[in-house]
Amino acid sequence: MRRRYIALFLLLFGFWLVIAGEADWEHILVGAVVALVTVWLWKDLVPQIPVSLSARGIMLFGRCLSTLIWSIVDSAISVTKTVVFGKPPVKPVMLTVRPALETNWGRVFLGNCITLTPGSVTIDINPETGVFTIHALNPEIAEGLCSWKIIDEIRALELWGKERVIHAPAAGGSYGVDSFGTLASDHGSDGS
Amino acid sequence: MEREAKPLPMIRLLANLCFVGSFISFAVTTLGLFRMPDPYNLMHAVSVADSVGVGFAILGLFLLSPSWAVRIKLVVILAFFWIVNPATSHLVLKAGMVRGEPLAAETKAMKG
Repeated sequence: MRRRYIALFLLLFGFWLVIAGEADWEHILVGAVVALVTVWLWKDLVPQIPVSLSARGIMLFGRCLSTLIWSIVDSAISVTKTVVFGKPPVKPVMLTVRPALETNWGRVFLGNCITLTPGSVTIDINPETGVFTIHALNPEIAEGLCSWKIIDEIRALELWGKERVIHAPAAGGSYGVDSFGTLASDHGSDGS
Repeated sequence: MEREAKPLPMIRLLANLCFVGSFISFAVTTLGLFRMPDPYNLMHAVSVADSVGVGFAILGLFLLSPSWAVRIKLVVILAFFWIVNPATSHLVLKAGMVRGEPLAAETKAMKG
C-alpha cells in the first residue's frame, strides 16, 4: 500500500516538473508540497492506482490506442463527408448496447473511446447492468460500434488484469486489488 | 549562446500539412454548427475538432519542437485533451437528456 502512495507522489511531482519546465528550488519545493497535499486529498483513491506495468500490459494498451487512432481518423472522414456534402445523410440513432465488459474502468475507457470517435457520443453507462446509451450520427456508425474490435481489446486488458490478481498473492502483492488497482467490490454486481 | 537547430525542410512540410489538417477539422466543425439539426448531433461535429483538430495541431507542434522536454509536454497536453473533451461532451449531452432537450424528429431507437 505504501508503494502506491510513493508512486502517486512521484507521478504528480514528475508531472509538475515537466509542466513547470524549470527545476530551481522554488519550483521543486512548491511541486513537492502540492504533490503531498494532492496525495493526502486522494488518499481514498490511492488503492486504485497501478504500481507496476508489464510488457504485455503495455502491448495490449498500445493495441487499443492504435485501434482508437485509426477509428478517429476513419470516423472523422465520414463525419466530414456528412457535414460538407450531406452524404451519408444525418439519420440519428439512439443506441442501447451491452458490451461484454465487466469492470467499471473498462466501461469508462470504452465510453471515453466512443465519445472521442467523431459520430458517436456516450450519453450514459449503467453501472449495474453495463448497458451503454449512445447517440450516433447514422445507423452505419451505430452498427460499427456494436462490432468494434476495441471492445475485444479492452476485454483482453481486463483479462490481463484479472490474471495478475490471481498471481498477485504468490508474487507478494496485495489481495483483492487487481493490476489496475480496481477493488474487487468495484467490479459491479454482474462482474466478478 | 547556443543556436537552435532548424527543423529539416521535410519535417517542416509535414508539420505544415498537420496544421492544414487541423485547420480543415476546425472549419468542418464550424460548418457543422450551422448544419446539424439538434444539440446532440452538434456534438458529433464538435468532436471532429476535439479529437482530430487538436491531434493534428499537437502533432505539427511536436514535429517542430526544439527539445524533448517540449515534446513530452505536448504529449501530456494531448492526453489531457483526449481525456477531458469526451468527459465534457458526455456531461453536456447527459444534461440535455436530463433537462428534456428534444431529439431531432428523425432520431430512431436501436438495440445492439
